[in-house]
Amino acid sequence: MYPHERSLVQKYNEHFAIVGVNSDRGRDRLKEAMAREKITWSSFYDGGGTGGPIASRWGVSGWPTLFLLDTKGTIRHKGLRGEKLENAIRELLLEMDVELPPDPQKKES
Amino acid sequence: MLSVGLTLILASFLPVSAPFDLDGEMKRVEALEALFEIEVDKSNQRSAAEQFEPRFETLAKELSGTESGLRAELWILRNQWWKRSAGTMEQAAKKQAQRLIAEYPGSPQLSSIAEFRYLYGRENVIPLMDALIAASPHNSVDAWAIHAKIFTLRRSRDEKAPIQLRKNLELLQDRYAEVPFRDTTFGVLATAMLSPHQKEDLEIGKVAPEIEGIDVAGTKFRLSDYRGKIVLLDFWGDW
Repeated sequence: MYPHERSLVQKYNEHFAIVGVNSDRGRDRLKEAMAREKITWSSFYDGGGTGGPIASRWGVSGWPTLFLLDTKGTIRHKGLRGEKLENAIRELLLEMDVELPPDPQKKES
Repeated sequence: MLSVGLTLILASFLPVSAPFDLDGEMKRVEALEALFEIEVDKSNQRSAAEQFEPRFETLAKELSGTESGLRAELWILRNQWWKRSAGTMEQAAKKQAQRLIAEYPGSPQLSSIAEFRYLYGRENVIPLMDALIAASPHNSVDAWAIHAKIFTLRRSRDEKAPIQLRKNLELLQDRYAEVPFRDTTFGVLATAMLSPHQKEDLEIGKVAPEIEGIDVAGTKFRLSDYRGKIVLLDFWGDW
């Protein structure tokens, strides 16, 4: 999960961001995970555990739970991971009419 | 004699309720907890817990009536979890929790009894939490007990459960708003739980509800700060 997320952020950096909502037990654990996994994106710190205020309000009780939002903040996909997630991001980039980085499914030269 | 005198002088700077040897006793419990953690890394949680239970029982008996004795008891309570598959967890945990409420009613550590709500069996949680609230003089213990009731009511099929749930959330909000809940407060949690997003508001095609919060460094930000970018909103934990 982490390496794929890192590569997405690097590759689509200009028009794409990850926003986390983190339910780890304590700030130290979150800091440690961010350092170890080289996580550069921001996460809301949800109070130090599962069942925090943000997760409770959103009805999230399984992790990870993923929403893909477009540039207007509209929910466009839920629960996508891996290749499907990257394809969905590329589709949204096409909607923005911006230049796409090379397709990961074609061999890069 | 000299050392006794010195201890008394030092003790006069401490709160009157703190026994002189509290530190040393507590360190013994902490040391055994640390040994247990080392054993967990070597074998597994369950076999380590089985192996350490008699040692914590001995320590709890020896330190009975003190905060450190209660801490040893709470280790035993938390580790009843491993008796689940044998079917003895719920009864053992309930009995121990009842005994601890009777023996240590004034201890702020009793909030752990509410934190371990998953041990007692669903039908036992509410009576146990009511007993805890009745016995404890501490707001933090009461708030954790109400929190445990809320979780039970959320899963209950009883027709009165939704009303009870709302009452308890409002109670948290009205009377325990400032009590710490991990790194936030029960007030913040209750407010969020009283206004959950509806399922249809989280469907594809809907604008994602706003999130306002803080990052790990305490800096405030909002989900809407990211408008103009494609966003992967990722509820995650490093486990």
